[in-house]
Amino acid sequence: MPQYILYLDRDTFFHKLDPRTKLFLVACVFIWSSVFNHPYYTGSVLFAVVSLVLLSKTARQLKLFWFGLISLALMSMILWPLFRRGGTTYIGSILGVSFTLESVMYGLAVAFRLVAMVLSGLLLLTTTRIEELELAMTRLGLPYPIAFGFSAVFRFIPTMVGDGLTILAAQQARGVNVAGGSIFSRLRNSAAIIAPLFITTMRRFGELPMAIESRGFVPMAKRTYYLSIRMRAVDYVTVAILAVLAALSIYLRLNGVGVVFPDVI
Amino acid sequence: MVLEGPAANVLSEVELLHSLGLHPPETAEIFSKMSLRGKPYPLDVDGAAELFPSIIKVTHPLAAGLEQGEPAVELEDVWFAYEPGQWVLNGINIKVMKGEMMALIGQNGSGKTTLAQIVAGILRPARGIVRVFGKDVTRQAVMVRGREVGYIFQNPDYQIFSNTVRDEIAYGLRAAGMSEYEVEKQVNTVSEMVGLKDLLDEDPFFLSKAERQRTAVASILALNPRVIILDEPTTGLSPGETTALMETVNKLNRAGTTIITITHDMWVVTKYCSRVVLMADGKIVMDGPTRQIFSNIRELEKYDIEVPQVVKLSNKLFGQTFLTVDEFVENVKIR
Repeated sequence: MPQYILYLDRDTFFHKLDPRTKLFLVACVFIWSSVFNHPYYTGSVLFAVVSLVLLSKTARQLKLFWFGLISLALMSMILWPLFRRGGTTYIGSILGVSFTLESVMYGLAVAFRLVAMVLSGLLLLTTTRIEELELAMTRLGLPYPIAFGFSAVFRFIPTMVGDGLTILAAQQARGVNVAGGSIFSRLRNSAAIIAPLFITTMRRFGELPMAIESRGFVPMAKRTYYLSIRMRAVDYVTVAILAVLAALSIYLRLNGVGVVFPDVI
Repeated sequence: MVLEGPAANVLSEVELLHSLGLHPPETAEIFSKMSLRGKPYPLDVDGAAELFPSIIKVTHPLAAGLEQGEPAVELEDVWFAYEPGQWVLNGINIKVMKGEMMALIGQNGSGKTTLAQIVAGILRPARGIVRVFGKDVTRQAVMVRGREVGYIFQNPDYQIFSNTVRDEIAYGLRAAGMSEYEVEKQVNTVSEMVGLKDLLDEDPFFLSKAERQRTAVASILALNPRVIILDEPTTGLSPGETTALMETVNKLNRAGTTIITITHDMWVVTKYCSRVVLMADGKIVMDGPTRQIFSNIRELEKYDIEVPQVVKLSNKLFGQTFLTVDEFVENVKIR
């Protein structure tokens, strides 16, 4: 059976960075995408993240997620203009609902923002081993049980992807049409995927505490690690650049740059 | 606690173990059924062979041949790879005849599930042709194939999502546009067949693994497929639960349904299947009637197949292959 492990071993600059640097980058992506709500700016952030995905040679590993990311972006582009009212540049109306250029731009900005955020997280997982990530979190001062909780969740992602695909096959084999029909029948039929996935995942999570406790897991015990991580000069330089850019983005936002609607996130 | 003591004593309580839904060692079962000596019974083949009486009369079991007639499933030079260049199936050629009950055995990673999923339409071969009842279905969508070929997964939780057993069984029928009257009728028939009649209004989430497995089986049976594939259906089930499930499957087979079952339980194979296909490294390495395949004990052991005790013992004592304890007891008489 195929394996759905996100990490892809490649010899790239991004892979070689310390996991703490990569975590900081993800935090920065969240800051950059959140402070701006203009599509040029959030689009630039997304462009940067996509470039990093390409440079880290992990794009193929994310093929399962492209459809979801594009759907997420489309939903945002369609829904936000309906709810984020305001703006002065009227561009037209559909079924009696009027749209302004600003609300459409805001929808686009949020779409870019969401995709950039999710993609940066996936970039982290495709270029960093879960064990390194766990170690990085403890080195950053996070209590071990919390770091372990995070790493357990990350470990479950490939398992869930594998389960999801198997469930999809199982339901299609019994005639459940998940990919076709009207939007309403698709939504109804998606329960056939979501419910078994939820139940399977819950059963797995239910067994996890028993499995780790039966092997003598003590949450607060002092630990040693086989793996070692080390911040090198290139990491410090990268962190410094990212920090400056994060500070700059906040400064720009406070001065009204990069926004369509100044009063909202 | 029902019983406690040394393993030999506990495992010699054959009838009690059976009544608890457990599978005692076949050597102990043979000695018990033939009333050969007092307890404790031998638990291994060598011990049983040593203690077995020498004055015996053995009749030959009927040699069952393979099903003749038309193929239900036909694979012609089928190749498949999950990753480019890494072939998981290497040019498979096989015909499964109508009404056959075939076991697909082999080590993990030998390609059994991949082969079965290609038959069910879940995977599409990179090369080759798949025919179901003579029709080329190589590129057919899985949803369409599901009407002819039902696939029961190892983990029933992959299939179950409704709030009640009744709705779970009815889902595929409603999706196919059946009237509520017909749905109800079919749900009742199928639930009766798999022993779920009293659980129809229960939430499947709270049922035991065996009951959830039966629910998954029922939801596929309801669609009336002419071929059913069971992918390790007995994993996690007790021998008693396994027997109950396989008896249902056997009943369907006798009614004409073609069955392909993937399993690591060799006693299930020898008891229920008429044909065995052994796979290794994406190829079929042995294919034939169950008795013929299990007479090659050394060959099977090369592929880490755990040959049932009764097969080993009958070969060791008489150079013949008896597939089940009952067959052994029927054909071997002490003079």
